[in-house]
Amino acid sequence: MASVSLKNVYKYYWSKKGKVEAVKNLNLDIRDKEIMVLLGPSGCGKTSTLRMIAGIEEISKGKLYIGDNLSNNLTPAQRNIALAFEDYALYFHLTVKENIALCLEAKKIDSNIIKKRIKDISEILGIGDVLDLKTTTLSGGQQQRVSLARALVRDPSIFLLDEPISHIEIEKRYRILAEIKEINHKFGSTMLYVTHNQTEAIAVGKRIGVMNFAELQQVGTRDEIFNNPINLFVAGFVGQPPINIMKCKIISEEDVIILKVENSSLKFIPEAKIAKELYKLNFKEVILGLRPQNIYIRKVSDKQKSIKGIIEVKEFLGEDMHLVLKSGDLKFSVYCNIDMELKKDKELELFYDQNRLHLFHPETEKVISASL
Amino acid sequence: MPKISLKNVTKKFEKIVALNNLSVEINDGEFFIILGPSGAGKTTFLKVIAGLENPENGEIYFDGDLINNIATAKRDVALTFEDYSLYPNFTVFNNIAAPLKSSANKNKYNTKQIREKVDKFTKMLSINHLLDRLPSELSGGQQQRVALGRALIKESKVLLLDEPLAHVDAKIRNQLRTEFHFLREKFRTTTIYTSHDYKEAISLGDRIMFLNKGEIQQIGIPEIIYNFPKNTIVALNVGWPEINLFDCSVNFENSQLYCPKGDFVFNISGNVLKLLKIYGKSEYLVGARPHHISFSDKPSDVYNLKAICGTSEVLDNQSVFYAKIKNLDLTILVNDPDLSLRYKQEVWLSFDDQSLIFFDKETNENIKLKE
Amino acid sequence: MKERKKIGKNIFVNLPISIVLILSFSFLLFPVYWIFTMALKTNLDIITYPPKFFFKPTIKGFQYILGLVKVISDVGVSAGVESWFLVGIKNSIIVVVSTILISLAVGLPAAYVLARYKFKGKEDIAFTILSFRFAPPLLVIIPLYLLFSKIGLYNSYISLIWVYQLISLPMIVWIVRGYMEEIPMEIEQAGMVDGYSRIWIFFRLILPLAKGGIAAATLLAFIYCWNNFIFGMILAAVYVQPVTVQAMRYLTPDAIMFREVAAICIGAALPLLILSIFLQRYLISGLSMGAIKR
Repeated sequence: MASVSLKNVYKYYWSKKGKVEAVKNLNLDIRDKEIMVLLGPSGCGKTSTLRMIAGIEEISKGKLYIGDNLSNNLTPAQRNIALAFEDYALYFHLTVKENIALCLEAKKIDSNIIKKRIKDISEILGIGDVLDLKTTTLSGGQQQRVSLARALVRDPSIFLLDEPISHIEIEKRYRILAEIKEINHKFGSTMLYVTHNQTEAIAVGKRIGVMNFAELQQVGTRDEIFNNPINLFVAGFVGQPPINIMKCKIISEEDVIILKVENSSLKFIPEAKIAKELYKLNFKEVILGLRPQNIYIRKVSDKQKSIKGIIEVKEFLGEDMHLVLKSGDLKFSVYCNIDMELKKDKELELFYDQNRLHLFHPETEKVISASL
Repeated sequence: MPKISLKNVTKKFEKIVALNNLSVEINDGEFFIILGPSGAGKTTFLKVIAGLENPENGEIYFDGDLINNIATAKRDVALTFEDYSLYPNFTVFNNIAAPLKSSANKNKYNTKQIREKVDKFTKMLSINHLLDRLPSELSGGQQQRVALGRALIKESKVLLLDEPLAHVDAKIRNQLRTEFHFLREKFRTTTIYTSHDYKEAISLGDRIMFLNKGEIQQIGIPEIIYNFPKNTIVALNVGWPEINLFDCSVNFENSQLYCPKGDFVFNISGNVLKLLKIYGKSEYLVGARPHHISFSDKPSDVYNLKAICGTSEVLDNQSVFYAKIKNLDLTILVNDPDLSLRYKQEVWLSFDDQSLIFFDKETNENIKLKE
Repeated sequence: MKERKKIGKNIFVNLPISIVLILSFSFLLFPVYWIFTMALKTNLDIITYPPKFFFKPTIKGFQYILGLVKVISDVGVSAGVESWFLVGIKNSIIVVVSTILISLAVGLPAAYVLARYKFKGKEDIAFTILSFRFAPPLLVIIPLYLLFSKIGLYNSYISLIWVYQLISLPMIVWIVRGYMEEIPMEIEQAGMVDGYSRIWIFFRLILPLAKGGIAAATLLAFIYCWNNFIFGMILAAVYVQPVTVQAMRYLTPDAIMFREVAAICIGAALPLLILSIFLQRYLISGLSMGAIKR
């Protein structure tokens, strides 16, 4: 198991339209024994990054370190990596056990050790009872587990997973993610997991790297990305239901800086230190983000401020509720616990914490934070 | 907007019984949801109402008129298929305009009127910029909207939607589900919508019919289906994570429930105790929803059931963790996405006894609904 | 520096592949090339040994077969009296086009029924149609000759068009049936829900969606019918025989006119080439319909 470090890495290729930058100036550290997730929309560069670390694509510029070794020129075999893809690429004519054992036998490892490893791994992945079956008889979920077992049993330095669960039945998806985490916990394998689905990213990774347009936008834990997004893209991409985005004019009422939402009667009051920053920057407009999870139907503390809206849609979802409220032309979402009293067209007072307001520069879309 | 009635409808495909002697009444203008796992018979139900499949047995009535022998084209229904079934060789415009140009509707609309109607519906569905594209040039979400446009434009009396959100990306699915609320307001046709996702069902439906293997399990409003499932099949399929089910015996003297698999007891009181006394039996299958079980990392009077943690998953807004009390596996849903429980950590659980659901061990039916 | 390495790698891999491809194509296309040159050589050049690759071309061969120049031999005018080539082409076009049109009119609905409906004996009927292709023409040619003579159809277009169905109908039915089976039933059901009749659905949905298969089947059927020799030779006489048989006109008692036979070969292949180019568009588009996501 090893750490992986990318320093100023670029990936270019040439198409009819000229030079295309698939990855731009990437600096990323994957710590030893951690699961790092690369999250982003299709075409953002995450798959290119994975392939460069694997060695199946050349690094155009920059340095890749696996452990302490500069690895740009090592072959995939020399890098000792394991890959798990969307299509599992199992050997159809062999049984599950034979699939898993094949490469170990090739390395001429002692057969007792092989047996023990297979036993341990198949226990965690829940494939102990299908070891003697041919792989073609298995379900998608089981095949993916066999593919993972086969990659793992080689004890790789780093485990690269590219959207491995997209072909698995929906009911089984989260179990496999739990098992992947369990493997990481038990064997200490360093993993890089690539996906475009933010729910998956949150479920599997401790730290998440969000990418867009070939650049790494932000790296952090779910908490950091959720509560301190570095720009509008990250704030909007992570979070279900998506963050409410509102364009605001900065006005001052009685010496207090107020954010008035366009085409609506909503007014938000930012924290004092942010207000100071806005005043210093002398902006007239700003983009406000507030998560549906951070808008409450009941006041929890005195420090909370309030806004009003009329319920347009009430979605009862069993374990929780989703409301869409209207204020003027603006529609915004609230995610909350069950309250059967709420009905459509009712005017509701809602509460928020000032420190949960995210303000973004109207042009650069970067977050505005208090300068130290 | 007709009332739709089915009486004793049976539909077989060779040996498989897709619909087994179904009788149901759907009210005028109702948004009626058919919920069930795949293979339950939902699509067959819609096709029978549309006339694309003919039942071996039984009658179908629209507002009291028997329609069994009326051809599909004359029934004035609109249907969206699970895989959209757009005409691959027609543009988006022509796909949506198709129902207005058919022989059943010939001469009803001239070219100008057709153009206006297509504009109106495509604007409403935000696809008016795609009119010249072919279906193969659209994303899944866009194809879904075109299929909807084609169904809505007829303004028919009955709207049948077959799993419209099944194949759409998760993020878009949530958005579209919310949008369906807006669309519902605009079109007060009798609508039958099928899904295997209970969230769609309880969010959108006026009433829900739970179908399993061709048989009706329960019909009711969303709150009833969720909080008072008629039997274990409904309880297991409505709600995520799956409801925890385990056997218990009642000790009426101590007002306690004993679970043999986990070898623990806990107190019951109030309405729940009354209910059990009235029903009388001493053995039940108990259902505890994952978000009605709470935990603490320290033992106390309330949190007194020791459990060992298994794996846990962090989701968008919640966490799920698996815990074991002796031999009993439990799933617990917590409203905190930042849960950090370690594998094999000890926790202490507590059941919210008033929210437990009791099923008769022989019939698997919810005892509360027996009143 | 890395880019240069890549290009270098490419040349080393590409060169052997290119050589293999060139050799294979040369081998396969050589006969066609040789016949083409034969059509442009003088008779002397054709029969010299060792074979001549470089020669002075002449278009006399083409002029003869088109009837533009008369060949006068020792015993008088023996060839070039008429353009057997044009007579043959006219007959081929009339017979083969009619055959194909009839096969399509009959075969496309048959393919649809075989693809969609369930009824007793369906597979038997389908197999019977296919079995027409199994019988060697030589086996049936004598009985057919006797039969057609008896009913007065010897030397008529009708007899050829009728007999050619044995070649084209199975192909069209079987190939198009496969394509139609691929079209999901739900598309037709969508049409029915929208209020369309089955006839409309057949012409406006099924046929356009099976376009690729119809084009492929038509092309194959056309080629096989066009190239048929035996039926034309036995069941028809000079002025009805297709161009394949007309080539024999130039194997005269006086001389075997190799050049003219080669010229007719080239000329006879030309319509097929043009048709293939025209239908290629449909062959490709037939494979890229994507309205149903799988």
